[in-house]
Amino acid sequence: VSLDESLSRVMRIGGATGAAFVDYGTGSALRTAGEASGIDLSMAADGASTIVRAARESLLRLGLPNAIEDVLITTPGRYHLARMVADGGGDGLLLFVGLERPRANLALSLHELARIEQELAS
Amino acid sequence: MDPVQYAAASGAAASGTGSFPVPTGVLGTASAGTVTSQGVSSRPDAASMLAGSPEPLARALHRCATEQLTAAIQVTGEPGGVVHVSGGQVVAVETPGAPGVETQLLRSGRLSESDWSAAVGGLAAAGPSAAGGLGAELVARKLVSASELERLAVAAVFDGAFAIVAGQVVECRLAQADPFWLPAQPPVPAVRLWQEIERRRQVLSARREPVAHDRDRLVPVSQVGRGTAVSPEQWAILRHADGRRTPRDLAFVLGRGVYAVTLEIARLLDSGLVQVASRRDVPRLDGSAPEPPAAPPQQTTEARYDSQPYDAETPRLPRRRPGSSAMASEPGQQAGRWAVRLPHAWASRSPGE
Repeated sequence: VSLDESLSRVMRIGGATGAAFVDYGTGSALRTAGEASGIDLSMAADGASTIVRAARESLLRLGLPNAIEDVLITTPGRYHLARMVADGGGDGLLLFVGLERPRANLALSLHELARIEQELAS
Repeated sequence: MDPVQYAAASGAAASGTGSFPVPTGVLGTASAGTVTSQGVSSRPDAASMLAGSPEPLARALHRCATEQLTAAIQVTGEPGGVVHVSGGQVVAVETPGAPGVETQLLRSGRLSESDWSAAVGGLAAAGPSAAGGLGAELVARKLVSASELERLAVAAVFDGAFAIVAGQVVECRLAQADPFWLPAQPPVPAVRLWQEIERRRQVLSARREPVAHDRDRLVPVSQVGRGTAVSPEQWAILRHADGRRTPRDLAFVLGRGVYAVTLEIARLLDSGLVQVASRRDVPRLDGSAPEPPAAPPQQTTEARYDSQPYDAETPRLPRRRPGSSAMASEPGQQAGRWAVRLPHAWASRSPGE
């Protein structure tokens, strides 16, 4: 499965407005989909890796297990989801997804994302 | 752009004559589109960023994109390299200044040398008709997943181009398309690549502690304060920072991107976990005098990180090979920079052929 194929599946999730695969170590958007007129996905990618890094550092300081699965940011109108994708190796791959709250079901979205990520790793 | 200037190569992707004249300059300094307090809204449009840039590589990329050329952009400079373009988009970057996909796979321990050799051998046995090239062979052998290879290839394009531009670019020439391994598929649009290069410069120039990715030799600070959070990626850097290695050297040792390692080192500098031991004496292409000889590295303390274990796995230190050596950019070692290569017939075809 290619990254673009995965992204087009992500974009079929209810409420999805944009998605990006992000290189965690650099904050670079490797592939993007959606958000043609909305937010700048390359900037969102950088933000996603910064936020996940901050969360990891905080957990490290607390001495807690720091294998983050995802970080969720909720604003009045949107969900911003940054998920760590285990695709077998490398420096870490993030999946950033933007969702419109009125159209999105968070639990279902997470379930669907986990399935898409599993296919990516195989 | 001035059509006359590029007339020699117009209409012929592979004529090999288009020479971009020389706006020499240090490109590693603070970049044009600066970050303001408004941040987002003041960013220049990505396409105009490429079209408007006076830098030789930006002009070459812009020309390739507008004319949808398939070519090799040969960049002379330090470290220099080759940017492979297909249909106007970037498929691969080869440079002695950054580890490529192969180096990253092998040195990170993700792939063993024997698996790699077996895949190359398998491809050779399949002959020139093998579809998909080495990448398809690696995936077919289940050594890497298709998506992992894809993202490594895209990340390597970004990193290689960053390393070229963050050094010194003297001149870019368009030459006949050249075979190469492990292309990014789908390729990276030139505008997107330049946007990413600009972003990286901005991020690095905005750091409190600036780091020269090819010059600063780093050494760990012996004592780590309590409550300091050190990630596994950072531990890996700390244990290999020996007062002689630059961020670029560490990237080669660890099999990671130069920009990623440089950024991580900037964070380590901020938190006082490493310091710059000395600066490497890099010859400058513009003829300016090199910096005075560096002071001997500070005593390399056998750092005590008792409170935190190093990551258990001993990193692989594969043998140096000419195509990937960080030292290849030093004087007198230019030969054989891309010595590890498949004959043309075996290499993967450029998309669109």
